[in-house]
Amino acid sequence: MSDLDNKPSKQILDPAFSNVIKLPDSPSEKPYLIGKRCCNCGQFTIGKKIVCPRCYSEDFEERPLSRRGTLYSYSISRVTPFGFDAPLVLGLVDLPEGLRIWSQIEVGSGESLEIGMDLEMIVGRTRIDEGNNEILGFKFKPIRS
Amino acid sequence: MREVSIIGVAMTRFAKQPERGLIELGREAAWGAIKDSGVSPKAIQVAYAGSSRTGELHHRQSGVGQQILWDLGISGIPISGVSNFCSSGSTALREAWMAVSLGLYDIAIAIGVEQLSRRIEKGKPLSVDGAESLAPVGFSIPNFFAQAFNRHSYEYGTTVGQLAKIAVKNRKNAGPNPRCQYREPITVEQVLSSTMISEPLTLLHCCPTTDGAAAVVICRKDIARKYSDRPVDLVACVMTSSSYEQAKSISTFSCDVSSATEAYEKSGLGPEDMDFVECHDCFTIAELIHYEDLGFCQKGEGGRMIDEGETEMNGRIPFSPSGGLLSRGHPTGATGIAQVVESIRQIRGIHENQVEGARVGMTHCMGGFQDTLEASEAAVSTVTILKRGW
Repeated sequence: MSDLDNKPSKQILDPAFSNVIKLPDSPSEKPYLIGKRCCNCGQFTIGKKIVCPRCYSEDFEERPLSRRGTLYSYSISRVTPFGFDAPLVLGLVDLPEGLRIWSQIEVGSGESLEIGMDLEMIVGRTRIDEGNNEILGFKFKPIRS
Repeated sequence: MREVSIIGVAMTRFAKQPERGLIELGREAAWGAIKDSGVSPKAIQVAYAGSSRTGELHHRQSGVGQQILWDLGISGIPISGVSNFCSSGSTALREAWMAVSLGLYDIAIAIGVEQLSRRIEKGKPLSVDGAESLAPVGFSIPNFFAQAFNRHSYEYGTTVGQLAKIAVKNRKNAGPNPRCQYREPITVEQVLSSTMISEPLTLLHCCPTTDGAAAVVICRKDIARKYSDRPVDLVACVMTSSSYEQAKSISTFSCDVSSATEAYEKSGLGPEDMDFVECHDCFTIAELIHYEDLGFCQKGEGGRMIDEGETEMNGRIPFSPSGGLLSRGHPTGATGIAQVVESIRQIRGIHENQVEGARVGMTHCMGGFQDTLEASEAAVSTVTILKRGW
């Protein structure tokens, strides 16, 4: 192996999530997800929306989403798409704003998952891109009581 | 609106057949259906060709139907391509049905075709086809259905053993069916110990990737007897999409509940009138959930249905008598029409794995995902109800 193979890869915030993840501005802060709240009916959505899917209003405000959620379901992929290490834990996380969202779940060694458990949002490596860079995205992990 | 009959059907063998191209497969099915129908090729007035991945895999997004039919000397008529995920074929059929039942045309052909074995990601789950929100998370279709099982198990106590019985049943049904990719019987033990894909779904819980094509010729019911002495009536041909408000649960697929409900309403028939069902058993858990969503048992009772043998060949309501997607394979654009072809053979009484006295059957085909971080079940659900027309 040459030195080039040991070159540290870059860490890049996933451009796909750049408008839904708010990174902390200082070490005392924590990251959070950004949702859209309809000014007319109060429905929360996430991602690129120009119209409220419930009432069709075009008036949104951006709101931080709760950093805590509960695990609605999950599965551990043993065969994964290109760029994703196996095993890959994916789950659906319920947020108090009424959203149920896809997320990678970070499980520590010796930890097990249970539907209904409480989770909190973190930012971490979710995949590798074609340039071998570490791509960062949002995840949820169990809250250790 | 006019009543519509199916007068000709054909499909290729379903198998990994990388030596056969997309258009070649489509031609075989289309020509076979035209010959089976007794209709002159010149009498076909409109054509729809369903495929879901041809742009990504073969750099041919447009013109699949055009190319298939040009080679058969059929040209000059309106021909369009239809893509709607795994329901591309059944959507092509629905468009053909609309064209004839609304009185625009008298005779139509619907083709479904897919060539998946040439794809570059062999050994990996099928890619998510440009899903910008879900791909970066690492989404895969087997993971989604494994999560559906885990949730269904949490809510109703469904077990992996029950799922395995569905794989065993469908493989047993495929035994006599030469069109199926896999026909050797399997045991529960073999299912449970095959390669893990997404926990707890192993390889044998998942439909294989496959190449194949299927086609049907349809016409106005009142001229069907001119061509066929065994026409089958398309008494319901329904399509829905997942609804934003209702799509969050993954232990039920609300688009299937609504498409089945509408099909029963349109046909005036109920689950009790069905002699068999060809459902979208892309994964074992999918078939189990379909038992409930299509109205054959209460929510949560899918496991009991398979345990008690209700969906076996000699049970109350045989499911997947052809072998299903699990054994036949799933060339995504072709499946919706292949299910209809298998069902027509049942109703004509010529199926290799015959349901005794079959006169009425249901096909159900679902597909795709909404590209959103929010849970959204499947994108599309199609249901047909077919009834003996003689």
